[in-house]
Amino acid sequence: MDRACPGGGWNAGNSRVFGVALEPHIDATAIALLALQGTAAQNDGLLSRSRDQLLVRTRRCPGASSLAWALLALHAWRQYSRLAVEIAERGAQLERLLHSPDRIVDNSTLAVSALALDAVTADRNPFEVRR
Amino acid sequence: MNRRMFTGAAAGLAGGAVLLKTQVAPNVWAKDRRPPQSRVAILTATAYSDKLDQIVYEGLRHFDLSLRGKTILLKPNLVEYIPGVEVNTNPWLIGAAADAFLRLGAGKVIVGEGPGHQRDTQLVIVESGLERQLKDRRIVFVDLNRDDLVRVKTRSAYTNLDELWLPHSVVSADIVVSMPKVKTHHWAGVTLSMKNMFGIVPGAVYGWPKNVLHWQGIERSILDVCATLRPNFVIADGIIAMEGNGPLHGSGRVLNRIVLSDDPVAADFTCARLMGLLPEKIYHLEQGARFLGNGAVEAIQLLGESMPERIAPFSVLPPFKHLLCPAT
Repeated sequence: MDRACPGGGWNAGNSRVFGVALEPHIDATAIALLALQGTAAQNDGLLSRSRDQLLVRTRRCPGASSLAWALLALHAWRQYSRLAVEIAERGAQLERLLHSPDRIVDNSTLAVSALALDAVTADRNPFEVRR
Repeated sequence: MNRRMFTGAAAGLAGGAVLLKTQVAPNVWAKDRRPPQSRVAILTATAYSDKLDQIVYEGLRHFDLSLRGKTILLKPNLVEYIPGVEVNTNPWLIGAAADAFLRLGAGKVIVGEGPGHQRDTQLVIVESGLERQLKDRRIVFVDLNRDDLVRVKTRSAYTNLDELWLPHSVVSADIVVSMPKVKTHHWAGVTLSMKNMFGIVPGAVYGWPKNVLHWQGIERSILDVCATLRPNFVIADGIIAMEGNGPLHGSGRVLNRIVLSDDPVAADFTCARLMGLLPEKIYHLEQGARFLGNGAVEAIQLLGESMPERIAPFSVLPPFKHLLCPAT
């Protein structure tokens, strides 16, 4: 939690360097949110800000890998009802990217995209913590 | 022997034979590859546009390179996209370089980069505008973070890494062109053609942001990477450079120059001088000039324009005030 960016979200490294706040990355934020499922009670402010970061940053995200990770994270937190529309929109966005083969540049992107679309359409998220 | 080397030597003595090589100055483990004379061309360029095609083409012709049928790998500096900030090597310059090498007879030009911060390379390519250049000019891009790998023995011993896993596309290229953005750097002082070579080291092996190299020491890693895979040529983007808190959060600095060179050390010494900094006080440059390339003015032949008479030094963070030229 101490690596979170001041405005929410995470990146690949530090949250500040020489007093300057660094920006979060979509995929790192999504993976952190997936890992932190179930900890909302203690850290609701940070997690809420991080979900907001994901929503803002994926609005026109051209990277399939980032978008797929974001979709998996948003789906895992779908109990927050306002996310439903956003999840559907991001799913459609990802499908459009998948129609452009040069955006799927490696197998890991393809795999995480498939998992993300499956999560949305079949309500089956392999990273979701069920109780 | 400076303090760093002394510390390394002391650690070696304490650690026994395993650390034997740290007992001596690291550069003795590297073959001296300094050419008798290095060539650098400083060229004026005032905008990112298709006019760069001709400027780069004319600049490359000064060097009379043997390019016929060769595979050229252009290695730009793509860190991450920050709207409104010139962080990355500009796509117009990358496109112009590709075009110029092909016009001069190269068989194939590919662009390769392994961003150090962003795992989603495609995201950086699209957001930075490089995708458009690649498509328009039909250039292939290779994600160096995820390319096939080749194990290569390190050719100097500034770190404890005896070998590096490097991308096949880089190792197999006939000519590797480092294309840095001219920037200050909050850990290394500057990021130029040598520091730019960090991007060839694959994230899939070394993590993001190339964690293993950071733990080994950035400057030492720069030297080992460059000694192991010395870039053959440099095209540095100093049209809009960065000063202050680089490489991400500095301020744009209009320099209106691109720098071409057949020697990465000579290129970086020249760029540092254009920035109003003292290159010999930058550890990785000073060490690089001992075995990898030329830093001394008398060993650098200027093919293009001469150094400007007056240079307003780049602003630097407080730990780097000692790099500023006393009077320029």
